[in-house]
Amino acid sequence: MNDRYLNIALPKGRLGEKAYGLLAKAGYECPSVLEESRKLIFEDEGNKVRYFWVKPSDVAVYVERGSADMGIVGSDTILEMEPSIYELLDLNIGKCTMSVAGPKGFTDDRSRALRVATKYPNITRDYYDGLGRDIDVIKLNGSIELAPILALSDVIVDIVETGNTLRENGLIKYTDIMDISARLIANKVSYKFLYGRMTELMKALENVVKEEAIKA
Amino acid sequence: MEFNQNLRKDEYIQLKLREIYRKYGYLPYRMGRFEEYELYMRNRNFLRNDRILTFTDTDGKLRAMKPDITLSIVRDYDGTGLQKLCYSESVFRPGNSGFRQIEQSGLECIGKLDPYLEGEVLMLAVKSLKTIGEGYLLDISHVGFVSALADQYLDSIFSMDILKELARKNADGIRKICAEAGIDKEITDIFIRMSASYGPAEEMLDIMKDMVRNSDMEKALKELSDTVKILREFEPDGKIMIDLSMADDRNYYSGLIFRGMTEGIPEYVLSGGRYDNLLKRMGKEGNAIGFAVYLDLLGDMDECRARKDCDILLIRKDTDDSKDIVKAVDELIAKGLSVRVEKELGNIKYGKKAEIKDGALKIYE
Repeated sequence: MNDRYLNIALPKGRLGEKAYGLLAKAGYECPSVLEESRKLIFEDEGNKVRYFWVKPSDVAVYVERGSADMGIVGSDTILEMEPSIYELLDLNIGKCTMSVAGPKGFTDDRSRALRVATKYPNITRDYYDGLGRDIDVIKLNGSIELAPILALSDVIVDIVETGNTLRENGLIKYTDIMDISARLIANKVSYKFLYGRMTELMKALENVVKEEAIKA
Repeated sequence: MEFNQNLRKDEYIQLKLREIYRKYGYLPYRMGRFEEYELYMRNRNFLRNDRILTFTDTDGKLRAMKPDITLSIVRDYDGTGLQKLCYSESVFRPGNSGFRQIEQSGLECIGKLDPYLEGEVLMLAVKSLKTIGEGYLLDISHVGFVSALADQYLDSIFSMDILKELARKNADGIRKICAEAGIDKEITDIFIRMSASYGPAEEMLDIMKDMVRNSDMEKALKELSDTVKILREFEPDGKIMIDLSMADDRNYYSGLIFRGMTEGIPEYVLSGGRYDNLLKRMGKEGNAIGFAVYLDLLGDMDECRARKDCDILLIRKDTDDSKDIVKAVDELIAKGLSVRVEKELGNIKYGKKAEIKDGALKIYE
Protein backbone atom coordinates (compact mmCIF):
# COMPACT_ATOMS: atom_id res chain seq x y z
CA MET A 1 0.00 0.00 0.00
CA ASN A 2 3.03 2.27 0.27
CA ASP A 3 3.15 2.98 -3.46
CA ARG A 4 -0.09 4.88 -3.04
CA TYR A 5 -0.38 8.58 -3.90
CA LEU A 6 1.41 10.97 -1.58
CA ASN A 7 -1.14 13.66 -0.71
CA ILE A 8 0.30 17.15 -0.35
CA ALA A 9 -1.77 20.16 0.75
CA LEU A 10 -0.62 23.49 -0.69
CA PRO A 11 -1.75 26.87 0.63
CA LYS A 12 -3.73 28.79 -1.99
CA GLY A 13 -1.94 31.91 -3.17
CA ARG A 14 1.55 33.18 -3.82
CA LEU A 15 3.23 31.17 -1.05
CA GLY A 16 1.71 27.93 -2.34
CA GLU A 17 2.87 28.65 -5.89
CA LYS A 18 6.41 29.35 -4.66
CA ALA A 19 6.36 26.18 -2.57
CA TYR A 20 5.16 24.17 -5.56
CA GLY A 21 8.06 25.69 -7.53
CA LEU A 22 10.51 24.25 -4.99
CA LEU A 23 8.78 20.86 -5.01
CA ALA A 24 8.88 20.78 -8.83
CA LYS A 25 12.61 21.55 -8.78
CA ALA A 26 13.06 18.77 -6.24
CA GLY A 27 11.56 16.35 -8.78
CA TYR A 28 7.93 16.30 -7.65
CA GLU A 29 6.38 17.95 -10.66
CA CYS A 30 2.74 17.95 -11.56
CA PRO A 31 2.44 20.47 -14.41
CA SER A 32 -1.35 20.72 -14.26
CA VAL A 33 -1.13 22.34 -10.81
CA LEU A 34 -0.38 25.78 -12.19
CA GLU A 35 -3.05 25.70 -14.91
CA GLU A 36 -5.77 28.28 -14.50
CA SER A 37 -8.86 26.33 -13.53
CA ARG A 38 -11.31 25.83 -10.73
CA LYS A 39 -10.02 22.36 -10.04
CA LEU A 40 -8.67 21.82 -6.55
CA ILE A 41 -7.01 18.40 -6.88
CA PHE A 42 -4.14 17.52 -9.23
CA GLU A 43 -2.41 14.19 -9.68
CA ASP A 44 0.85 13.17 -11.25
CA GLU A 45 0.80 9.51 -12.20
CA GLY A 46 4.58 9.24 -12.66
CA ASN A 47 5.62 10.80 -9.36
CA LYS A 48 2.63 9.36 -7.52
CA VAL A 49 1.91 12.72 -5.91
CA ARG A 50 -1.45 14.40 -5.50
CA TYR A 51 -1.52 18.11 -4.77
CA PHE A 52 -4.49 20.05 -3.53
CA TRP A 53 -5.07 23.71 -2.84
CA VAL A 54 -6.63 24.68 0.47
CA LYS A 55 -7.00 27.83 2.50
CA PRO A 56 -3.58 28.56 4.08
CA SER A 57 -4.90 28.39 7.64
CA ASP A 58 -6.53 25.00 6.88
CA VAL A 59 -3.37 23.20 5.69
CA ALA A 60 -2.43 22.07 9.20
CA VAL A 61 -5.95 20.72 9.77
CA TYR A 62 -5.78 18.53 6.64
CA VAL A 63 -2.36 17.23 7.68
CA GLU A 64 -3.17 16.66 11.35
CA ARG A 65 -6.27 14.67 10.40
CA GLY A 66 -4.41 12.67 7.77
CA SER A 67 -6.36 13.79 4.68
CA ALA A 68 -3.03 15.18 3.51
CA ASP A 69 0.18 13.29 4.27
CA MET A 70 2.25 16.45 3.97
CA GLY A 71 1.64 20.15 3.61
CA ILE A 72 3.23 23.56 3.32
CA VAL A 73 2.26 26.03 6.00
CA GLY A 74 3.51 29.27 7.57
CA SER A 75 5.18 28.86 10.96
CA ASP A 76 2.72 31.49 12.26
CA THR A 77 -0.13 29.01 11.79
CA ILE A 78 1.84 26.22 13.51
CA LEU A 79 2.59 28.42 16.54
CA GLU A 80 -0.97 29.69 16.74
CA MET A 81 -2.75 26.33 16.36
CA GLU A 82 -0.11 23.98 17.81
CA PRO A 83 -1.29 21.08 15.66
CA SER A 84 0.03 17.61 16.43
CA ILE A 85 2.27 17.22 13.34
CA TYR A 86 5.92 16.85 12.39
CA GLU A 87 7.64 20.03 11.28
CA LEU A 88 10.23 18.68 8.88
CA LEU A 89 11.84 21.57 7.05
CA ASP A 90 12.15 25.34 6.93
CA LEU A 91 11.60 26.25 3.27
CA ASN A 92 13.09 29.71 3.66
CA ILE A 93 10.24 31.27 1.66
CA GLY A 94 7.31 33.40 2.74
CA LYS A 95 9.64 35.11 5.17
CA CYS A 96 8.24 37.83 7.39
CA THR A 97 8.08 38.74 11.07
CA MET A 98 5.39 38.57 13.72
CA SER A 99 5.49 42.09 15.09
CA VAL A 100 3.86 44.56 17.42
CA ALA A 101 2.80 47.76 15.64
CA GLY A 102 0.91 50.84 16.71
CA PRO A 103 0.26 54.49 15.90
CA LYS A 104 3.11 56.97 15.78
CA GLY A 105 4.01 58.27 19.23
CA PHE A 106 2.35 55.38 21.03
CA THR A 107 3.35 54.95 24.68
CA ASP A 108 2.22 52.03 26.79
CA ASP A 109 -0.02 53.09 29.69
CA ARG A 110 0.89 50.51 32.35
CA SER A 111 -2.00 51.60 34.59
CA ARG A 112 -4.47 49.56 32.50
CA ALA A 113 -4.62 46.47 30.30
CA LEU A 114 -3.11 46.93 26.86
CA ARG A 115 -5.69 46.37 24.14
CA VAL A 116 -4.17 44.24 21.36
CA ALA A 117 -5.96 43.46 18.09
CA THR A 118 -4.74 40.35 16.27
CA LYS A 119 -5.50 37.34 14.14
CA TYR A 120 -3.18 35.37 16.45
CA PRO A 121 -4.61 35.39 20.00
CA ASN A 122 -2.44 32.48 21.26
CA ILE A 123 0.87 33.87 20.02
CA THR A 124 -0.12 37.27 21.39
CA ARG A 125 -1.07 35.89 24.81
CA ASP A 126 2.16 33.86 24.99
CA TYR A 127 4.28 36.88 24.13
CA TYR A 128 2.70 39.26 26.64
CA ASP A 129 2.58 36.52 29.33
CA GLY A 130 6.34 36.32 28.95
CA LEU A 131 6.58 40.07 29.54
CA GLY A 132 4.17 39.91 32.44
CA ARG A 133 1.96 42.51 30.73
CA ASP A 134 -1.79 42.36 31.29
CA ILE A 135 -3.59 42.56 27.94
CA ASP A 136 -7.06 42.54 26.44
CA VAL A 137 -6.92 40.45 23.26
CA ILE A 138 -9.28 41.51 20.49
CA LYS A 139 -9.51 38.72 17.93
CA LEU A 140 -10.07 39.99 14.39
CA ASN A 141 -10.08 38.10 11.10
CA GLY A 142 -8.66 40.73 8.75
CA SER A 143 -7.80 44.42 8.21
CA ILE A 144 -6.02 44.38 11.57
CA GLU A 145 -4.37 47.74 10.76
CA LEU A 146 -7.73 49.41 11.07
CA ALA A 147 -8.07 48.63 14.79
CA PRO A 148 -5.68 51.26 16.26
CA ILE A 149 -6.85 53.86 13.74
CA LEU A 150 -10.44 53.51 14.95
CA ALA A 151 -9.25 53.20 18.58
CA LEU A 152 -10.56 49.65 18.77
CA SER A 153 -7.15 48.69 20.14
CA ASP A 154 -3.91 50.34 21.31
CA VAL A 155 -1.61 48.15 19.24
CA ILE A 156 -1.76 45.19 16.86
CA VAL A 157 0.17 41.93 16.62
CA ASP A 158 0.39 40.80 13.00
CA ILE A 159 2.71 39.46 10.34
CA VAL A 160 4.76 42.14 8.61
CA GLU A 161 6.39 41.44 5.27
CA THR A 162 7.53 44.76 3.74
CA GLY A 163 5.92 47.15 6.17
CA ASN A 164 4.10 48.96 3.33
CA THR A 165 0.62 48.31 4.68
CA LEU A 166 1.65 49.61 8.09
CA ARG A 167 3.20 52.78 6.64
CA GLU A 168 0.21 53.50 4.40
CA ASN A 169 -1.98 53.37 7.49
CA GLY A 170 0.28 55.54 9.60
CA LEU A 171 1.43 52.70 11.84
CA ILE A 172 4.95 51.96 13.08
CA LYS A 173 6.54 48.61 13.84
CA TYR A 174 7.67 48.61 17.48
CA THR A 175 8.90 45.10 18.31
CA ASP A 176 9.58 41.89 16.42
CA ILE A 177 8.22 38.88 18.28
CA MET A 178 9.59 36.18 15.99
CA ASP A 179 10.64 35.33 12.45
CA ILE A 180 8.12 33.52 10.30
CA SER A 181 8.68 31.32 7.25
CA ALA A 182 7.02 28.46 5.40
CA ARG A 183 7.50 24.92 6.72
CA LEU A 184 7.09 21.43 5.32
CA ILE A 185 4.88 19.48 7.72
CA ALA A 186 3.75 15.85 7.86
CA ASN A 187 1.08 13.75 9.50
CA LYS A 188 2.67 11.76 12.32
CA VAL A 189 1.25 8.39 11.30
CA SER A 190 1.65 8.81 7.52
CA TYR A 191 5.26 9.77 8.16
CA LYS A 192 5.89 6.37 9.70
CA PHE A 193 4.21 4.30 7.03
CA LEU A 194 5.76 6.36 4.22
CA TYR A 195 9.05 7.07 5.97
CA GLY A 196 11.27 6.25 2.97
CA ARG A 197 9.37 8.34 0.45
CA MET A 198 8.86 11.27 2.81
CA THR A 199 12.53 11.36 3.83
CA GLU A 200 13.51 11.25 0.16
CA LEU A 201 11.20 14.17 -0.61
CA MET A 202 12.46 16.10 2.39
CA LYS A 203 16.12 15.59 1.46
CA ALA A 204 15.51 16.61 -2.18
CA LEU A 205 13.61 19.67 -1.03
CA GLU A 206 16.34 20.54 1.48
CA ASN A 207 18.91 20.54 -1.35
CA VAL A 208 16.74 22.83 -3.47
CA VAL A 209 16.29 25.20 -0.51
CA LYS A 210 20.07 25.30 -0.02
CA GLU A 211 20.66 25.98 -3.74
CA GLU A 212 18.12 28.80 -3.69
CA ALA A 213 19.83 30.31 -0.64
CA ILE A 214 23.17 30.32 -2.46
CA LYS A 215 21.57 31.94 -5.53
CA ALA A 216 20.08 34.67 -3.38
CA MET B 1 -10.96 -9.06 8.16
CA GLU B 2 -14.04 -11.08 8.90
CA PHE B 3 -16.13 -9.90 11.79
CA ASN B 4 -19.53 -10.60 13.17
CA GLN B 5 -22.36 -8.69 11.46
CA ASN B 6 -23.98 -7.92 14.79
CA LEU B 7 -20.93 -6.19 16.20
CA ARG B 8 -19.38 -2.92 15.19
CA LYS B 9 -15.68 -3.13 14.46
CA ASP B 10 -14.76 -1.52 17.78
CA GLU B 11 -17.04 -3.89 19.72
CA TYR B 12 -15.56 -6.89 17.96
CA ILE B 13 -12.00 -5.71 18.64
CA GLN B 14 -12.90 -5.03 22.27
CA LEU B 15 -14.02 -8.65 22.71
CA LYS B 16 -10.99 -10.01 20.86
CA LEU B 17 -8.57 -7.95 22.94
CA ARG B 18 -10.11 -9.10 26.21
CA GLU B 19 -9.77 -12.70 25.01
CA ILE B 20 -6.05 -12.17 24.25
CA TYR B 21 -5.27 -10.42 27.53
CA ARG B 22 -7.12 -13.10 29.53
CA LYS B 23 -5.13 -15.84 27.75
CA TYR B 24 -1.90 -14.33 29.05
CA GLY B 25 -3.19 -14.23 32.61
CA TYR B 26 -4.41 -10.63 32.83
CA LEU B 27 -7.44 -10.41 35.10
CA PRO B 28 -10.36 -8.17 34.24
CA TYR B 29 -10.70 -4.94 36.22
CA ARG B 30 -14.11 -3.34 36.32
CA MET B 31 -14.85 0.17 37.49
CA GLY B 32 -18.50 0.28 38.40
CA ARG B 33 -18.36 3.31 40.66
CA PHE B 34 -17.43 6.95 40.30
CA GLU B 35 -14.18 8.24 41.77
CA GLU B 36 -14.02 11.23 44.04
CA TYR B 37 -12.91 14.31 42.16
CA GLU B 38 -10.05 14.68 44.63
CA LEU B 39 -8.20 11.68 43.18
CA TYR B 40 -7.79 13.49 39.87
CA MET B 41 -7.12 16.85 41.48
CA ARG B 42 -4.23 15.45 43.49
CA ASN B 43 -2.70 13.79 40.44
CA ARG B 44 -3.36 16.39 37.78
CA ASN B 45 0.13 16.01 36.34
CA PHE B 46 -0.64 12.43 35.44
CA LEU B 47 -3.71 13.26 33.36
CA ARG B 48 -3.49 14.00 29.65
CA ASN B 49 -5.92 16.82 30.08
CA ASP B 50 -6.87 18.27 33.43
CA ARG B 51 -10.41 19.26 32.47
CA ILE B 52 -12.69 16.81 34.20
CA LEU B 53 -16.42 16.24 34.01
CA THR B 54 -17.79 16.42 37.57
CA PHE B 55 -21.13 16.03 39.28
CA THR B 56 -22.47 16.13 42.82
CA ASP B 57 -23.41 12.64 43.99
CA THR B 58 -26.43 11.79 46.19
CA ASP B 59 -24.23 12.04 49.31
CA GLY B 60 -23.25 15.60 48.40
CA LYS B 61 -19.69 14.65 47.44
CA LEU B 62 -18.10 15.94 44.28
CA ARG B 63 -17.43 13.01 41.99
CA ALA B 64 -15.96 12.71 38.51
CA MET B 65 -16.78 10.92 35.28
CA LYS B 66 -13.45 9.10 34.97
CA PRO B 67 -11.02 10.70 32.53
CA ASP B 68 -8.57 7.83 32.99
CA ILE B 69 -8.44 4.22 34.24
CA THR B 70 -4.77 3.96 35.21
CA LEU B 71 -5.09 6.27 38.23
CA SER B 72 -7.81 4.09 39.76
CA ILE B 73 -5.89 0.88 39.13
CA VAL B 74 -2.72 2.29 40.70
CA ARG B 75 -4.67 3.73 43.64
CA ASP B 76 -6.16 0.27 44.28
CA TYR B 77 -2.76 -1.46 44.10
CA ASP B 78 -1.88 -2.68 47.58
CA GLY B 79 1.85 -2.49 47.01
CA THR B 80 2.53 -6.21 47.26
CA GLY B 81 3.20 -8.77 44.55
CA LEU B 82 2.61 -8.51 40.85
CA GLN B 83 -0.71 -7.30 39.53
CA LYS B 84 -1.73 -7.98 35.94
CA LEU B 85 -5.04 -6.36 35.05
CA CYS B 86 -6.94 -5.62 31.86
CA TYR B 87 -9.95 -3.40 31.31
CA SER B 88 -12.50 -2.16 28.82
CA GLU B 89 -14.09 1.05 29.97
CA SER B 90 -15.47 4.39 28.85
CA VAL B 91 -13.53 7.51 29.77
CA PHE B 92 -14.79 11.07 29.53
CA ARG B 93 -12.52 13.70 28.06
CA PRO B 94 -12.97 17.11 26.48
CA GLY B 95 -13.04 17.15 22.68
CA ASN B 96 -13.49 19.89 20.09
CA SER B 97 -17.15 20.25 20.92
CA GLY B 98 -17.65 19.44 24.57
CA PHE B 99 -16.91 16.31 26.59
CA ARG B 100 -16.93 12.99 24.80
CA GLN B 101 -17.33 9.41 25.88
CA ILE B 102 -14.36 7.42 24.61
CA GLU B 103 -14.09 3.63 24.66
CA GLN B 104 -10.76 2.30 25.83
CA SER B 105 -9.29 -1.16 26.27
CA GLY B 106 -5.97 -1.72 27.90
CA LEU B 107 -3.87 -3.40 30.51
CA GLU B 108 -1.57 -2.58 33.41
CA CYS B 109 1.22 -4.60 34.95
CA ILE B 110 2.28 -3.33 38.39
CA GLY B 111 4.91 -4.68 40.79
CA LYS B 112 8.59 -5.44 40.43
CA LEU B 113 9.19 -5.30 36.67
CA ASP B 114 12.00 -6.74 34.56
CA PRO B 115 12.70 -7.04 30.82
CA TYR B 116 10.65 -10.22 30.57
CA LEU B 117 7.52 -8.50 31.85
CA GLU B 118 8.14 -5.45 29.67
CA GLY B 119 8.63 -7.74 26.68
CA GLU B 120 5.37 -9.50 27.50
CA VAL B 121 3.46 -6.20 27.64
CA LEU B 122 4.98 -5.12 24.30
CA MET B 123 4.05 -8.49 22.80
CA LEU B 124 0.45 -7.91 23.90
CA ALA B 125 0.61 -4.46 22.30
CA VAL B 126 1.76 -6.08 19.03
CA LYS B 127 -1.01 -8.68 19.25
CA SER B 128 -3.54 -5.89 19.88
CA LEU B 129 -2.37 -4.03 16.77
CA LYS B 130 -2.45 -7.21 14.67
CA THR B 131 -6.05 -7.73 15.78
CA ILE B 132 -7.02 -4.26 14.60
CA GLY B 133 -5.41 -4.51 11.16
CA GLU B 134 -2.69 -6.10 9.05
CA GLY B 135 -0.88 -2.84 8.38
CA TYR B 136 0.53 -1.79 11.74
CA LEU B 137 3.69 -0.42 13.35
CA LEU B 138 4.75 -0.40 16.99
CA ASP B 139 7.13 2.48 17.77
CA ILE B 140 9.14 2.17 20.93
CA SER B 141 11.66 4.36 22.72
CA HIS B 142 13.18 4.97 26.14
CA VAL B 143 12.47 8.34 27.72
CA GLY B 144 15.67 8.10 29.79
CA PHE B 145 17.93 7.74 26.76
CA VAL B 146 16.99 11.09 25.27
CA SER B 147 16.47 13.06 28.48
CA ALA B 148 19.83 11.90 29.90
CA LEU B 149 21.56 13.62 26.99
CA ALA B 150 19.38 16.73 27.30
CA ASP B 151 19.99 16.97 31.06
CA GLN B 152 23.74 16.61 30.68
CA TYR B 153 24.09 19.55 28.32
CA LEU B 154 21.08 21.79 28.92
CA ASP B 155 19.38 23.49 31.86
CA SER B 156 15.80 22.47 32.59
CA ILE B 157 14.16 25.15 30.43
CA PHE B 158 16.27 24.45 27.35
CA SER B 159 15.93 20.72 28.04
CA MET B 160 12.14 21.01 27.95
CA ASP B 161 12.29 23.08 24.76
CA ILE B 162 14.53 20.62 22.97
CA LEU B 163 12.34 17.63 23.87
CA LYS B 164 9.38 19.56 22.49
CA GLU B 165 11.16 20.25 19.18
CA LEU B 166 12.35 16.64 19.11
CA ALA B 167 8.75 15.47 19.37
CA ARG B 168 7.95 17.59 16.29
CA LYS B 169 11.03 16.29 14.43
CA ASN B 170 11.94 19.91 13.87
CA ALA B 171 15.64 19.87 12.99
CA ASP B 172 15.74 23.64 12.41
CA GLY B 173 14.18 24.23 15.82
CA ILE B 174 16.73 21.91 17.48
CA ARG B 175 19.62 23.71 15.79
CA LYS B 176 18.29 27.04 17.01
CA ILE B 177 17.94 25.96 20.63
CA CYS B 178 21.37 24.29 20.64
CA ALA B 179 22.93 27.45 19.22
CA GLU B 180 21.20 29.57 21.87
CA ALA B 181 22.36 27.22 24.63
CA GLY B 182 25.91 27.11 23.31
CA ILE B 183 25.91 23.38 22.49
CA ASP B 184 28.66 22.19 20.15
CA LYS B 185 28.06 20.67 16.73
CA GLU B 186 28.71 17.08 17.80
CA ILE B 187 25.94 17.04 20.41
CA THR B 188 23.60 19.10 18.21
CA ASP B 189 24.00 16.45 15.52
CA ILE B 190 23.05 13.71 17.97
CA PHE B 191 19.81 15.52 18.80
CA ILE B 192 19.10 15.95 15.10
CA ARG B 193 19.76 12.26 14.45
CA MET B 194 17.46 11.40 17.35
CA SER B 195 14.69 13.42 15.73
CA ALA B 196 15.16 12.17 12.16
CA SER B 197 16.17 8.51 12.53
CA TYR B 198 13.48 5.90 12.30
CA GLY B 199 13.73 2.23 11.56
CA PRO B 200 13.44 -1.38 12.68
CA ALA B 201 14.35 -1.78 16.37
CA GLU B 202 17.56 -3.82 15.86
CA GLU B 203 18.99 -1.39 13.28
CA MET B 204 18.20 1.55 15.51
CA LEU B 205 19.73 -0.05 18.61
CA ASP B 206 22.98 -0.23 16.62
CA ILE B 207 22.73 3.45 15.65
CA MET B 208 21.98 4.39 19.26
CA LYS B 209 25.31 2.93 20.45
CA ASP B 210 27.11 5.83 18.79
CA MET B 211 24.89 8.37 20.54
CA VAL B 212 25.74 7.30 24.09
CA ARG B 213 27.53 10.09 26.01
CA ASN B 214 26.94 9.14 29.66
CA SER B 215 26.15 6.23 31.94
CA ASP B 216 22.42 7.00 32.16
CA MET B 217 22.17 6.74 28.37
CA GLU B 218 24.13 3.49 28.49
CA LYS B 219 21.76 2.12 31.13
CA ALA B 220 18.67 3.16 29.14
CA LEU B 221 20.06 1.58 25.97
CA LYS B 222 20.73 -1.67 27.82
CA GLU B 223 17.19 -1.74 29.22
CA LEU B 224 15.73 -1.10 25.79
CA SER B 225 17.90 -3.78 24.12
CA ASP B 226 17.01 -6.37 26.76
CA THR B 227 13.31 -5.68 26.34
CA VAL B 228 13.50 -5.81 22.54
CA LYS B 229 15.31 -9.16 22.80
CA ILE B 230 12.46 -10.68 24.83
CA LEU B 231 9.86 -9.11 22.55
CA ARG B 232 11.57 -10.67 19.52
CA GLU B 233 11.33 -14.10 21.09
CA PHE B 234 7.57 -13.61 21.33
CA GLU B 235 7.15 -11.82 18.01
CA PRO B 236 9.98 -12.64 15.58
CA ASP B 237 8.22 -10.93 12.65
CA GLY B 238 6.59 -8.09 14.60
CA LYS B 239 6.88 -4.68 12.97
CA ILE B 240 8.75 -3.07 15.84
CA MET B 241 10.42 0.27 15.22
CA ILE B 242 12.36 2.73 17.32
CA ASP B 243 11.52 6.41 17.23
CA LEU B 244 13.62 8.43 19.68
CA SER B 245 11.60 11.59 19.08
CA MET B 246 8.89 10.30 21.46
CA ALA B 247 10.30 11.91 24.57
CA ASP B 248 8.10 14.87 25.41
CA ASP B 249 6.06 13.11 28.07
CA ARG B 250 8.73 12.65 30.73
CA ASN B 251 6.47 13.82 33.56
CA TYR B 252 4.35 10.78 33.04
CA TYR B 253 6.62 8.17 31.51
CA SER B 254 9.81 7.09 33.22
CA GLY B 255 11.38 4.52 30.91
CA LEU B 256 10.05 2.49 28.03
CA ILE B 257 7.46 4.35 25.96
CA PHE B 258 5.55 3.05 22.94
CA ARG B 259 2.84 3.93 20.46
CA GLY B 260 0.96 1.83 17.96
CA MET B 261 -0.33 2.78 14.54
CA THR B 262 -2.72 1.17 12.10
CA GLU B 263 -2.63 1.98 8.42
CA GLY B 264 -5.64 4.11 7.52
CA ILE B 265 -6.05 5.69 10.97
CA PRO B 266 -4.36 9.10 11.13
CA GLU B 267 -3.72 9.04 14.91
CA TYR B 268 -2.03 6.65 17.35
CA VAL B 269 -4.46 3.83 18.16
CA LEU B 270 -2.37 2.53 21.03
CA SER B 271 -0.21 4.30 23.55
CA GLY B 272 1.66 3.22 26.65
CA GLY B 273 4.84 2.99 28.66
CA ARG B 274 6.54 2.73 32.05
CA TYR B 275 5.03 5.08 34.61
CA ASP B 276 6.94 4.48 37.86
CA ASN B 277 6.56 8.18 38.78
CA LEU B 278 2.84 7.78 39.41
CA LEU B 279 3.46 4.97 41.92
CA LYS B 280 6.04 7.09 43.68
CA ARG B 281 3.60 10.01 43.72
CA MET B 282 1.03 7.79 45.45
CA GLY B 283 3.64 6.61 47.94
CA LYS B 284 3.85 3.05 46.62
CA GLU B 285 6.86 0.84 45.99
CA GLY B 286 7.47 -0.80 42.65
CA ASN B 287 7.17 -0.19 38.93
CA ALA B 288 4.29 -0.03 36.51
CA ILE B 289 3.75 -0.40 32.79
CA GLY B 290 0.61 -0.40 30.70
CA PHE B 291 -1.09 0.69 27.54
CA ALA B 292 -4.48 1.72 26.21
CA VAL B 293 -6.12 1.06 22.85
CA TYR B 294 -8.34 3.90 21.60
CA LEU B 295 -11.27 1.98 20.22
CA ASP B 296 -13.20 5.09 19.17
CA LEU B 297 -10.66 5.68 16.38
CA LEU B 298 -11.51 2.42 14.65
CA GLY B 299 -14.60 4.01 13.12
CA ASP B 300 -12.20 5.91 10.85
CA MET B 301 -11.18 2.74 9.06
CA ASP B 302 -12.37 2.31 5.49
CA GLU B 303 -13.80 -1.12 6.15
CA CYS B 304 -16.16 0.44 8.73
CA ARG B 305 -17.30 3.18 6.40
CA ALA B 306 -17.86 0.67 3.59
CA ARG B 307 -20.00 -1.57 5.75
CA LYS B 308 -23.41 -2.41 4.33
CA ASP B 309 -26.68 -2.07 6.20
CA CYS B 310 -28.01 -5.49 5.13
CA ASP B 311 -27.21 -8.39 2.83
CA ILE B 312 -30.58 -8.41 1.10
CA LEU B 313 -32.93 -5.51 0.56
CA LEU B 314 -36.37 -6.98 -0.07
CA ILE B 315 -38.72 -4.56 -1.83
CA ARG B 316 -42.30 -5.16 -0.75
CA LYS B 317 -45.26 -4.27 -2.99
CA ASP B 318 -48.84 -3.67 -1.81
CA THR B 319 -49.95 -6.44 -4.14
CA ASP B 320 -47.63 -9.02 -2.53
CA ASP B 321 -49.12 -11.69 -0.32
CA SER B 322 -47.71 -11.12 3.17
CA LYS B 323 -47.37 -14.90 3.57
CA ASP B 324 -44.87 -14.96 0.70
CA ILE B 325 -42.85 -12.12 2.20
CA VAL B 326 -42.66 -13.74 5.64
CA LYS B 327 -41.60 -17.04 4.05
CA ALA B 328 -38.89 -15.35 1.99
CA VAL B 329 -37.54 -13.46 5.02
CA ASP B 330 -37.43 -16.63 7.11
CA GLU B 331 -35.61 -18.48 4.33
CA LEU B 332 -32.98 -15.78 3.94
CA ILE B 333 -32.34 -15.48 7.66
CA ALA B 334 -32.05 -19.26 7.92
CA LYS B 335 -29.23 -18.99 5.34
CA GLY B 336 -27.40 -16.64 7.68
CA LEU B 337 -28.19 -13.47 5.71
CA SER B 338 -29.53 -10.19 7.05
CA VAL B 339 -32.70 -8.88 5.42
CA ARG B 340 -34.32 -5.49 5.42
CA VAL B 341 -37.87 -5.19 4.11
CA GLU B 342 -38.76 -1.82 2.60
CA LYS B 343 -41.33 -0.38 0.25
CA GLU B 344 -38.80 1.86 -1.44
CA LEU B 345 -35.11 1.65 -2.23
CA GLY B 346 -34.27 4.64 -0.04
CA ASN B 347 -30.74 5.29 1.10
CA ILE B 348 -29.84 1.81 2.24
CA LYS B 349 -26.48 0.16 1.56
CA TYR B 350 -27.47 -3.38 0.60
CA GLY B 351 -25.68 -6.38 -0.82
CA LYS B 352 -28.37 -7.59 -3.20
CA LYS B 353 -31.87 -6.43 -4.08
CA ALA B 354 -34.81 -8.82 -4.05
CA GLU B 355 -38.57 -8.87 -4.56
CA ILE B 356 -41.48 -11.29 -4.60
CA LYS B 357 -42.32 -12.36 -8.14
CA ASP B 358 -45.20 -14.75 -8.88
CA GLY B 359 -45.30 -15.67 -5.22
CA ALA B 360 -41.60 -16.60 -5.06
CA LEU B 361 -38.48 -14.81 -3.90
CA LYS B 362 -36.38 -13.38 -6.71
CA ILE B 363 -32.88 -12.08 -5.93
CA TYR B 364 -31.22 -9.74 -8.42
CA GLU B 365 -27.45 -9.92 -8.91
